[in-house]
Amino acid sequence: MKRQRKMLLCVTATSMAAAVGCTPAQPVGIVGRPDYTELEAGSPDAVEASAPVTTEATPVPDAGWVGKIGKVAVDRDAGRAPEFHPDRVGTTAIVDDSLSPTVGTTARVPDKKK
Amino acid sequence: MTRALFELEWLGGTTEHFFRRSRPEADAVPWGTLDLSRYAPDLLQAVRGSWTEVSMNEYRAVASFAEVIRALTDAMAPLDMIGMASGFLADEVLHTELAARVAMELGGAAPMTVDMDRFALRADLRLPAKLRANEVLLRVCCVGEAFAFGVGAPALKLASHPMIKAVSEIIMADEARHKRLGALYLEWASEDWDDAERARLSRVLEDTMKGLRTFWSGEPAEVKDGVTSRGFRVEHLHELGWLESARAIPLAREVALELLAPLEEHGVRLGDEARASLFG
Repeated sequence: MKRQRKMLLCVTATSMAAAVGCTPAQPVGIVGRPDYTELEAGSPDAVEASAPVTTEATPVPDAGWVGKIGKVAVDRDAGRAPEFHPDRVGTTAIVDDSLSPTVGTTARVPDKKK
Repeated sequence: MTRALFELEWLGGTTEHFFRRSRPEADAVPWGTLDLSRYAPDLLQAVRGSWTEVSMNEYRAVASFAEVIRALTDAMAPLDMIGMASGFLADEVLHTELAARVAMELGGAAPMTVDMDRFALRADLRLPAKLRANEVLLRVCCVGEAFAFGVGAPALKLASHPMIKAVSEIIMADEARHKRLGALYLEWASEDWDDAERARLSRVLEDTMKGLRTFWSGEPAEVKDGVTSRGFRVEHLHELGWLESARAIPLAREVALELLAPLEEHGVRLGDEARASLFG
């Protein structure tokens, strides 16, 4: 079984969402620690975008655009330690580079919301 | 070229134990004391980016000081000077950790990518050892660390949040010593320099300063009633370790000009054209 990485510094749902102009439906915590639980796509912790971040994001009636930025793992009990897994994500979507000169050019959204 | 997100892993356990034994300061920082609800989301996003960049720059300094130590060793610099510089590596690792933890306290790293093959300074191995050391020490200590200390110290004085203040105090105390190494190296090495080497180092200086110009080349934005043009409260900027551009841009320019003086004493100087281009 592959060792789970502890991240001292990582891109989180909060920071990625802010960088691409979204608002996380629920703030996520801080400080790298193990015991992550992966969120399910479309869970309440998924990122709710206030504007389309990509043409590939999924439009949801009455909810604007909903996508999940990467697969984010959160220690729910401690309310901390989100981890971004760039190698374990769903559909890759290109984000408008003009959003920020320092923002990476890709964000990820999950497969279509069910 | 391979770009990757700038993220940092932490192993914990034995490695953390031995690292903490040499640099225990992180444990004294009052982590977990920021009340994020006080700050505007846009400000938090900007400051996350700022602290992620600080962490990235400190990580770059780890690599730079590895190059400094190698260059000093190759040049057979005094052993105690090499010993002094060796301690700076752990300093920079600690600074990287502290800045990373601040970014995480603010909600996580801003997504920034790096190309690790071109990330940090590498000495030009085609040059003789002493010339390599001259160039590396000039770039890293005499300019880079001197500039970082000069612009960081005033921000520290204004930092009012205990967590940010504690982090800044640790970093600034170390940067002062790092800057000092540059002056000590100049005293030791410069007596062997000829005119050609002074001219070469002057070109290196110009090149290094060009890399910093962005810090003072912008127009300072107006602050009205304690609020910046982007709508951030200046008080909040200071709490989070930031300076408003009205203060930061003139400061960067002043610090850049000040760091030139000791170099000029050793014959390393910007020509009139370069000075006008950088500061005109």
